[in-house]
Amino acid sequence: MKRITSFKLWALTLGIMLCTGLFFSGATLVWAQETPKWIKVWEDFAKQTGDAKDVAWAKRLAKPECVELGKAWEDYYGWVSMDLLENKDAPKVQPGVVITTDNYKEFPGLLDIWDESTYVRLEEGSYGQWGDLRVVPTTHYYYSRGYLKYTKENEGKCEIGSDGELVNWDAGIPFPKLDPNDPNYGRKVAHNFDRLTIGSDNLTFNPAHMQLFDRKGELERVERLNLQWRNYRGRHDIPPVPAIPGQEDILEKGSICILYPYDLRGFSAVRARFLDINKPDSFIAYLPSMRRVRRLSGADTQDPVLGTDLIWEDWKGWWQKFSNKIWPTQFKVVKERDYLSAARGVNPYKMEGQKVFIDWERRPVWDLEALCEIDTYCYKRRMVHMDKEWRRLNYGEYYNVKGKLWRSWWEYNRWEPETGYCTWWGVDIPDHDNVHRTVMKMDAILNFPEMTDEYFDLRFLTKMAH
Amino acid sequence: MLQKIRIISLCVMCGTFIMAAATPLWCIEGELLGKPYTIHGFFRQEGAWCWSDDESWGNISDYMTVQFEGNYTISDKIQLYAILRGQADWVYDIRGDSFGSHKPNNPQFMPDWFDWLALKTGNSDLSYSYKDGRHKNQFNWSENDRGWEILREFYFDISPNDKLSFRIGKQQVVWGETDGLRLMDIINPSDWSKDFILRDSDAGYEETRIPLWLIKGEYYFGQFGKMLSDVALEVIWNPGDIETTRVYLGRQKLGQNAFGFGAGEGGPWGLPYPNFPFFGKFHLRDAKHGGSLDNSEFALRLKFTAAESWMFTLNYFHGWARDFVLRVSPPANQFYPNQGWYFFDLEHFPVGLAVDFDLWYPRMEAVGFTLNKDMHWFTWRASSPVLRVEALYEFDKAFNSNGNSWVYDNPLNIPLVPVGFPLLLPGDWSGLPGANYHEGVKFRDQIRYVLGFDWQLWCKTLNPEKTFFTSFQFAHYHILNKGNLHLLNAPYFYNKNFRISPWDIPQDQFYVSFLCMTEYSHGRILPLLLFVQDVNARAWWIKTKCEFAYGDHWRPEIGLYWINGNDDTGKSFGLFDNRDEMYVKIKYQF
Repeated sequence: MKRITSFKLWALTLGIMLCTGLFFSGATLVWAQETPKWIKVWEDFAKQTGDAKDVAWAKRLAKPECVELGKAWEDYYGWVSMDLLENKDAPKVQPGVVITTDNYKEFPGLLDIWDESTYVRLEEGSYGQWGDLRVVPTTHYYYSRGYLKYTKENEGKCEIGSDGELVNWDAGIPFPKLDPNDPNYGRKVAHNFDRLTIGSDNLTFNPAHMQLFDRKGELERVERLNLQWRNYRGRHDIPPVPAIPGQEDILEKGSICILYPYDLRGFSAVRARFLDINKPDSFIAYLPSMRRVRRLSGADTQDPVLGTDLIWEDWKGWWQKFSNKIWPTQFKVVKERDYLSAARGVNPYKMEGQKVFIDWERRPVWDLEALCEIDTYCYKRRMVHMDKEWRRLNYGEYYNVKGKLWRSWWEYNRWEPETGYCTWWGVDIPDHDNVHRTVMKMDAILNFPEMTDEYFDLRFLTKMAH
Repeated sequence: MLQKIRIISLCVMCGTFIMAAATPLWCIEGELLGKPYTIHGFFRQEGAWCWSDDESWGNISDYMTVQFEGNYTISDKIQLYAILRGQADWVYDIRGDSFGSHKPNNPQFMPDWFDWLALKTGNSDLSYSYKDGRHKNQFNWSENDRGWEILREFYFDISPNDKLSFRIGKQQVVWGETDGLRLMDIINPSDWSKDFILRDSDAGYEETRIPLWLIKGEYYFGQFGKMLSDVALEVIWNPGDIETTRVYLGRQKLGQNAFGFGAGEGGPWGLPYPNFPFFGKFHLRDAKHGGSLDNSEFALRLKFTAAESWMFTLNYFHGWARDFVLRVSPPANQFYPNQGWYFFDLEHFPVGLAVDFDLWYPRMEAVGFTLNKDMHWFTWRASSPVLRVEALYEFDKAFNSNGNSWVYDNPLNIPLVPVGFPLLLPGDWSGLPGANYHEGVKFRDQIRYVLGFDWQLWCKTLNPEKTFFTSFQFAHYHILNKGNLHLLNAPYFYNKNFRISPWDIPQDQFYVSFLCMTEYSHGRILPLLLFVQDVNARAWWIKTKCEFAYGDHWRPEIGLYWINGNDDTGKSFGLFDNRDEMYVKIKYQF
């Protein structure tokens, strides 16, 4: 009897184990087969368009490493961008739609998911007229594994200092989870953007083209340059992480070298920004016309760079020092809404004449207003549409001290779903006041692993010096 | 042959402009033996008109420049870089042709500077001096030893590793950072035969610096503790390519007597020929050091940044002076069958004695430093000034001297005593047997420094889109142990009323300068103004220009030089008081 009981017990245990095993393996199988919604929408879209590029992009998104990384970020936030969409304004603007100069008026509410300065560019013959706008699904954009690791590790450590500056930041997104009732809500949105900077640890363009358009919208000049940028703090993926040893006081360094045209060729500059944001930048340039290395004022960040519409304050979209000691500024989230933004995935942007062609998608954004309290700053007001998931600006409008729209900034980003690295394909900077426009076209090497300090010291300038 | 070259050059130039207008040229990029190369360059034609009394808007120069720059990457560690430059001045053709046979038949003919010397002789043919001036100035390859100057720069950049690098070949080494004045920039001499120091004074003298065959090595040490960063040591060796500041002597102005040899051969921007007021004349010999290893030059520069923002260089130079002093060359009082001991009717005075002088370039040894610092604690309207200091101590610098005599204090106070010449001929360096010929040159240490402030200032009323880059400089030169020694600048000069007033070198010399530039219309209109004053001599000059950067290729520019000084005595910038000019440049770049 006792033996039978033991046998039964043994059989029962075995049975339970088998059932449990079968259950979990089945569940895993079911989970593995269940496609995340952010991929599903792309698969459906690709099926609908039949476009080979769309199909390839949907396949890329569905790669196991992409799913794993995307899921990790989703788990951390508890949502993905498509969950945050309201879809109440311009409901007809959905994936598959193509908006053109001929049909844009058939999309009521389009202005509610855009700004006037962007909307007017749909008019035939307008300055900086858009090419056809193809709307694609809202994509789940995420950053790298390193970003996620440091964001998690440092969550809750960062604070806002007495001058409104960021303190205790080491790496990762400083304020990943935001409370709309926080009095520093807007400022934290701005700081998050500031520390995502180049979207990776290293950046190099190979090279970048600046196309300058005149008042008539005709291409007037082209400048070609090499640009390198490197984070010295807040590094996440390319060793050394999270900081460059021995240079922990430096936040980031960048260098440029002009390749074309002849009269600017050889102009090179190295710029360093310190972790102590109240410290002025170090800015040294090699001036080929003089064959001299010359130190320039690190405080001067409002001059246009080489006749373009880009100023250092706008570099990366917004490179203002967020410290009231330097530029006392009030930040306020004035609205949260859907915003039709340039897509970062499937197709790089292209230009035909002055027209830009790129895919578009609905994105959840904060409309962040930054009001500068002193008139020595070039902009009295910035209105920036900050992506809630991407944490970077999609579009920014910058108003002069008289309150008139001066410049705006459209980003065309490139993003790699396998790694979460991102960079620029291009940037569109119209000067609305003087009717001029600079379009940057960048051919970047994503997170260039071989970048060293050599690109950012006097050696670099000496090498450039002929 | 020359005529053919001129015609061919003109055709090439015209053809290029026409072609460029029709089909824009872009920089050429390609591969040679699987390695990349690029070729850039420009074509430029200029014209300048002098508005001073002497010229009354006469055309004084028509420079043409054709420049090609090439860069070839031989390997990751070796690059070749070269510049070919051809320059010509068409004014000799354009104005020279207005004279000659046309003159006698043209009652409206007014002599101009270029004609004057020929007119003086009453010869419708061009004078010897004039031809010599043309010969020296028309083409940069005209002179016998200048053919190689078409190859302006040619060097290899070699980087065996990321710390060590070499630049070997014909090159420019720029040490100085001052605008409008050259102080620490002592490695390469300058060519001041075109527009004197004004030509690219606003652009760091890149075009006027004379490249030398040098070997430059640099070792980058990087960080030294927490205080020093970007530490690098630069070593330069010049194996004997000795060049000197290029100025042509022999420019007389209209209405003034031309004495001695070579009057007129310096071209519009030549320096006056050294002269005695009467009864004697100079005979000059260029005593430039020959190219040999014995004449090697050596230079060191240590670069570093201290405490993150103090950018220093410490410099040392051992070589040859770039600027000459005049030294009596024995035996001095020669008979020149064709030139000396003769009475030459130039206005009033006979010429009785010709004295040989060397343009002599003594040893030069100097130490110095440069410093750059962003004075961020002084930020005003979103910009802070950058302090620049450049200082040099030169050991035993050579000066021309009249000993302890102040020649114009002679008891008679009459213009009988030659300027730059000791009291009466039996003096120490009179050239007579037994005399010490070199007493006319004295050696004293000199300190030179420049304090400069670069400040990008907003003036939104005048320019809402871009700052004004301003640079103010104060320069001070101090001679040590000068005592009552009488030092003066050569070449000597005197006023047209024959009141002797030599250009003394005081113990302390002061200069100030101001540079201002900005950009309008998104960098398409680029005005600039540079002002330099010699405080002691109360002489100054202004260079102002405006460049237009429309499109990728064409770069027209208009500008003017306004020079003010004592023209009568020809001191300091007064040497060129009558060379005020307006110029136009048109450049096609690719």
